[in-house]
Amino acid sequence: MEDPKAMDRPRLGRSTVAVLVLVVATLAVLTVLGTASSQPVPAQLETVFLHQGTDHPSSLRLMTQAERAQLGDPFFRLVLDGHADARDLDALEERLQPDPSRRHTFVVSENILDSRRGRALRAVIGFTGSHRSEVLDGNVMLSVGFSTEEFSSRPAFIEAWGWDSFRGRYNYYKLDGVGLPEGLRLWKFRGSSDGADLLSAADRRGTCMACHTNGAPMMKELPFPWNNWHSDRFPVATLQPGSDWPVASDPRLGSRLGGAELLETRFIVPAIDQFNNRRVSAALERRGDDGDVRLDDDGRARVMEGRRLLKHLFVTTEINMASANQASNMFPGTPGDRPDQPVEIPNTFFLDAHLIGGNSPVRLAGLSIQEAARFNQHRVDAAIERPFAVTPDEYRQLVLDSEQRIAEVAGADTAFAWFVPIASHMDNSMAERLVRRGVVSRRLVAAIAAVDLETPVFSADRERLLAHVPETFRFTPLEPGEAPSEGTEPDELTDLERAIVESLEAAEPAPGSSEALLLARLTADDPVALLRQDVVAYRERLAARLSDPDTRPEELRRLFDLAHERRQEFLAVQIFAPLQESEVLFPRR
Amino acid sequence: MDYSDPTGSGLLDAHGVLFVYRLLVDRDHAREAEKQDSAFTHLGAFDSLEIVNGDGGDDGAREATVSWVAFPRKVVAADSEIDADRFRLQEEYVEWRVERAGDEGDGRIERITFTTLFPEWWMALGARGFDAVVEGIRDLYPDADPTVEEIFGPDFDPEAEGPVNRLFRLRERLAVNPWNDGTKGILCLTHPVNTLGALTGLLGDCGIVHDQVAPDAVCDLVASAGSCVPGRSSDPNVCTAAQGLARAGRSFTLADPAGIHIRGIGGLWKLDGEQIVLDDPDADVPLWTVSHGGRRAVLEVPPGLTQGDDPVLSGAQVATQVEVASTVLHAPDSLLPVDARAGNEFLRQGGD
Repeated sequence: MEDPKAMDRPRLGRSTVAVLVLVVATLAVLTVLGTASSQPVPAQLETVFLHQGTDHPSSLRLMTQAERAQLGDPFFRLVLDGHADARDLDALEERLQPDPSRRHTFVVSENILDSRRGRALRAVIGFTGSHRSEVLDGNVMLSVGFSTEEFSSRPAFIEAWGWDSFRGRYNYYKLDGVGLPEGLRLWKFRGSSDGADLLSAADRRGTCMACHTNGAPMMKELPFPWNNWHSDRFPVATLQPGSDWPVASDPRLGSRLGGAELLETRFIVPAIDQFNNRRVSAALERRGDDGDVRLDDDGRARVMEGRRLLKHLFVTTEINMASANQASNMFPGTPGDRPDQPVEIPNTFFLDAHLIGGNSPVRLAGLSIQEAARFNQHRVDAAIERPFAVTPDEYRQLVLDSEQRIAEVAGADTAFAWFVPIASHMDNSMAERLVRRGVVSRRLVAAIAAVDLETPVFSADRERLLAHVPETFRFTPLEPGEAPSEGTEPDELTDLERAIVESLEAAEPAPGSSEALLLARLTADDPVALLRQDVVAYRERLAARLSDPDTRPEELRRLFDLAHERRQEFLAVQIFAPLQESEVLFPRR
Repeated sequence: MDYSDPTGSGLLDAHGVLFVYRLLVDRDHAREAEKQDSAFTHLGAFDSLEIVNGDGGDDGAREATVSWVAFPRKVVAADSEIDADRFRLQEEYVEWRVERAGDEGDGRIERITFTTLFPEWWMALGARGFDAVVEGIRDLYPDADPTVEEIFGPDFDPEAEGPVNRLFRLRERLAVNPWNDGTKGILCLTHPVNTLGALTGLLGDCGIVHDQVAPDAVCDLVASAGSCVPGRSSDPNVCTAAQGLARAGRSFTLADPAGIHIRGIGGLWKLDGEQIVLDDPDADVPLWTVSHGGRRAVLEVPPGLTQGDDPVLSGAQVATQVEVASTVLHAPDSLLPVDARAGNEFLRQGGD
């Protein structure tokens, strides 16, 4: 695996002559550009794009031929390879996909409820179909800013990524003028997904991996109802024809405007799933002669980086944001002071509902424990029949009592109520891939999920258990579509499970510890059934407190405070800091 | 009420039953057009208007399309259950049938057929008689050999019955008709909520201005009447659009041909590990075809076709990538006949 940091430094191992040539060429180009910024771009700049290693301008340099030879994504092939002078959006879209009906615009803004003019929003542009033998579906995307007034073809910056299917990685690019003479914008290569998951927060600065923490495409508000995005759940009227926003009549909106429900299911989720599948493949021992996966005499393959691959089962490596399906009506500047209907606290706030219960729209079978998938739908025969539905008056009081604010507006909330960080599709998708390919069993996933069940993200107790995963282990690969083992027989532990059990036993875990729980579940008859019991008991306990008028107010406050704590935990994680794109992302106290 | 044949096949006209279809469709339209204070109006109100493109100005009628994903978002069930329990779980105005290899039909999936056609089309053919229905079925399944009992059920002689009895009998039997229930084929929407009446009812109720709540909360408001189900992909989306038009003083109706059309399929598809464009019109052998005015789509599933890297194991899996839509025609009330405007329903009562 290539050292991701190597590309940040001049090639010190190269000959002095080669280094000098690079430096001279870079200076020549930049000098010419500096004096000719008002002149037509010289023809040779059709092939010029830069490498940016950090966020400091001094890191800018020309891409070397060797580096260019490593780029095989559609964005490079269709644009940068010979057409790096495509520096406006019209030219870019034409080079990527000449058929306008195959270009799709998705809009996001953390101020999406604000209908006033003069504001900035962001568009993500996806492409479908093919062009010049390059299949575009899910393989190239752009991200640009625009305003309520216009959708400029020459925005301040354009970000792009492309999927190199041969090398199994995403390449990231950006067009801007940072570090360049005034008025000049050039394309810059800003890193690939290789090794992205291993980077420190410092290493990520100035690269696109600052937000793309695992290196794959990122959509924070991925799950329904896609807070902050134009969607079928929340069609933004001001983006539609007839609104008083001049940009609403721009051809990049109109029939091209798609909802977040399509971005999620057609672009982002398939991209993440494909990426994770390649990462699983990349972690397997290969034969030296043909590069195929090496199988032993029993048909078993070997994982070579066990902890790195299985990290997603234990650690929150990436974050998505979820909310209730109901609007709060408490976003600053919006009319109303409470929700119009009861707020259903999202399942994923209480537990990792997608991993444990599944999420069919995004192809997660999970552990199929339906009590998790229907957690907040539980009804009781008590004074309050729908304990997990917070009435509008209750919700308003929770917001006011918590003294939370958004952008210094007291008593405010996000567009959709109960907006919280949840376990990511990246992490859950990897768990799904590992199970489908036979690398891990449902037994193991259930045993891990039982640890700190009520803390779906940022669980120190689960994170600690990663240390018991071996670096290498063998497994029996499953054929595509082959049903994974239910794993209910404790005397049929896999190599991986045996290794984890032995490691836990050697640690002599204290009773009641996470280690003890994992050990007990791994050696139990049916960890999935036990997990189901845990989920039911958890739900019943919460439902009891929420359905009793005497204990409900206190329990609601506890849960609301917990939501706030989760947001604070997210904000405190250094590698997630760049995801906080504005002060209105979360309510604060 | 010049409603067009949504399939574009010409079969209804050829059998002289296009007027029957129009009567059936108008039944639901008329009911909602007479709903007090609803912006839903009748198609004829737009006869004198030109359909123009662009933004919502005041110089003509415009079309607005609302789309959603075919997968039933509100349903919590395994994919196999959603496939098997079509008449209970496939509730987003689109239904599908999965065809499998092998004599027992338990092999790998070979084909998935999606439909958004409302039953009224088949009811009209049924009014003509058995032969007309057979012709319609053979248009979809050339080797089909339907029997009277399969179409009309036991103890029913279509030649001895009148057209009204025939059309209602056909409708009554759709859920057990093997040419529709998935045994031998799929003809049209059959889930109890996937009806033209439900769609027009949704538009009618959500076309009444409820400005005490945000537009996207109107679905919850009218849910008690049963016309909108919160949490679905379709209902809230359609409702919000209708409410927005009503608040803007624009009356609307379903654009002709009325109904739901299949807009397309997306996602990441591979054949033998190589990514392909599934809806490539220039492909030698198209794997995804949309026909019958967008009311029918077929995904052929050759060996080696995967959705991402996953084999195609269910229709529900594919439904997550299928987009369907409905289009409404709308115009400012000021451009419409007086009796077509919201609040003036009393002027229309008594029929056109």
